[in-house]
Amino acid sequence: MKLIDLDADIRGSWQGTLDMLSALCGETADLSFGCRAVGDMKVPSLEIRLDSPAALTSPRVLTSGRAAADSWARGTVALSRQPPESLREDLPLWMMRPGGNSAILYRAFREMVRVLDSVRLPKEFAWSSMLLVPVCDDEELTSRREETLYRAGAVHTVWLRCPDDETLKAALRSVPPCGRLQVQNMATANTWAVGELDEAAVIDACFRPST
Amino acid sequence: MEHWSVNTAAAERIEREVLPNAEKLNIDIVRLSDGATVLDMGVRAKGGFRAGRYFAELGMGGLGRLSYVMLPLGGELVPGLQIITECPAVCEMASYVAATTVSWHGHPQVISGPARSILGSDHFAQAVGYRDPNPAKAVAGVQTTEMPDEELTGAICSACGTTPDRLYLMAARTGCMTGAVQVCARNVEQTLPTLYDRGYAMDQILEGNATTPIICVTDDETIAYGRVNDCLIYGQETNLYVRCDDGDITAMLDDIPFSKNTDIYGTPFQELFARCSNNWAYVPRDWDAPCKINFFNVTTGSVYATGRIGTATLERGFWGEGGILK
Repeated sequence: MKLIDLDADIRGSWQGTLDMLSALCGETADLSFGCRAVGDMKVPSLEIRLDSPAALTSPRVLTSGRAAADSWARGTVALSRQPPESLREDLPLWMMRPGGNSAILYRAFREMVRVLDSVRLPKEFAWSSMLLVPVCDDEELTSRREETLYRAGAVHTVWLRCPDDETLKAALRSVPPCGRLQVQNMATANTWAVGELDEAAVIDACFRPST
Repeated sequence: MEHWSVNTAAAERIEREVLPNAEKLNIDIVRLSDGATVLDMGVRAKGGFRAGRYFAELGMGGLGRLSYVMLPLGGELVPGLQIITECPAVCEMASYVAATTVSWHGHPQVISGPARSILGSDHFAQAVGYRDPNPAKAVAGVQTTEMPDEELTGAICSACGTTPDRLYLMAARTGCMTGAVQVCARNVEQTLPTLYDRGYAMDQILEGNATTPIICVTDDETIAYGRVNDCLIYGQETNLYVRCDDGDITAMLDDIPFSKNTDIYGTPFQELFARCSNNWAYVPRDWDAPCKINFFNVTTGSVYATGRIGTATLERGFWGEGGILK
């Protein structure tokens, strides 16, 4: 097994994490860092574009919680310094601290996959723009901030083909809160959206300057 | 400086990055009986974001870069892209501009890409002195709903001065992700011919960058064609870094942007095109105009801006008959 210390005992990098996410997507994704305006701040974002969303399915959870370990089709990710048990020998294992930047990027990616899975229709393309929380030693604070950003600051755009918009609208109404989800129906040339961006909540959670 | 071959740069990248990864890129490679290689990036093949990026960057002969960016549109954030080029005249006028016309099945077919620069035979290629004579390989692009055949590759080779066995031909219809991307990437590309038509020398443009929203990807070719053109005439914003007298800019400033067409401004391009029998030959030249252009004069430090974003028209194209579900 190839064990990669991405951000466990050595200090990781944003680019290294992007490379890991690319590998998890089977190198069929277009990944980059972006910049979003939040109030009067410019905040980094993870931008994930998928040409084949169907090829990326949710991982099997080996262990849950902050020290999670997830088994993906193309490797295992452990938010821990300890390798999980029962690993596949033929796939790489990436390890990272749960409180580091690599873990923040990874969890944003995993949230994107969760949201796409919740849209129960075949998808052609997807683009998720995930605001990134500032790294912080307080892992509970980071976790609360992430929850807020996922629900108030994420923008997911999906392109799919659905013969009628009513089926699409019904599917969208069943999606749990995830920020703004906008779906373009390539069959009808109409875009439907659910959810709202809540900039005030995002600022309160992460980006209000300390006085 | 050593001669930069836009064809060689594009062809080498195709051979290094596209051909070995065609399946991952959702691209089909088709070799025709005349030896030409067709890269189906979205005619029958699915294509996507990465195929679209390749279509544009290869079309610019390695002299431009495409990045994807989220852009504000009214109160929304929508997908978009940015083009950056440090060599806009060659990148766009000699290479990416869709300007060389050949006959295919008895109809005109416009082609774009580095192959245009071999002979430089069309009007806009002749705006610059750059030529790429006798490259080992040539690269061209077509926007089409029909798979290219030997008649098309033969016509392209005759017009451009190459042979089919040396030709890579990229193809995508408008109504797919690749098609939307490669058209929306024609932002700096759209601006330069407009300036050239007004007598502005292309060698005065040092660098260019621009953004365009990608408001719609749809299977309906007519709707797709209208909305990607809406992205350009109502949505693209170009920054040009130029070296000239300020008077060269101010003399044409009001005459450049699409918004000068006050009688039709706000009308979706699909409707405008229908008024012209869906035939570019009948489209007034002023309707193929850039949306918003900002000039930064390196010589004087002056800044000029003209045109405006047509937010309402873009929003209609983005939502169609859809909207926000409560």
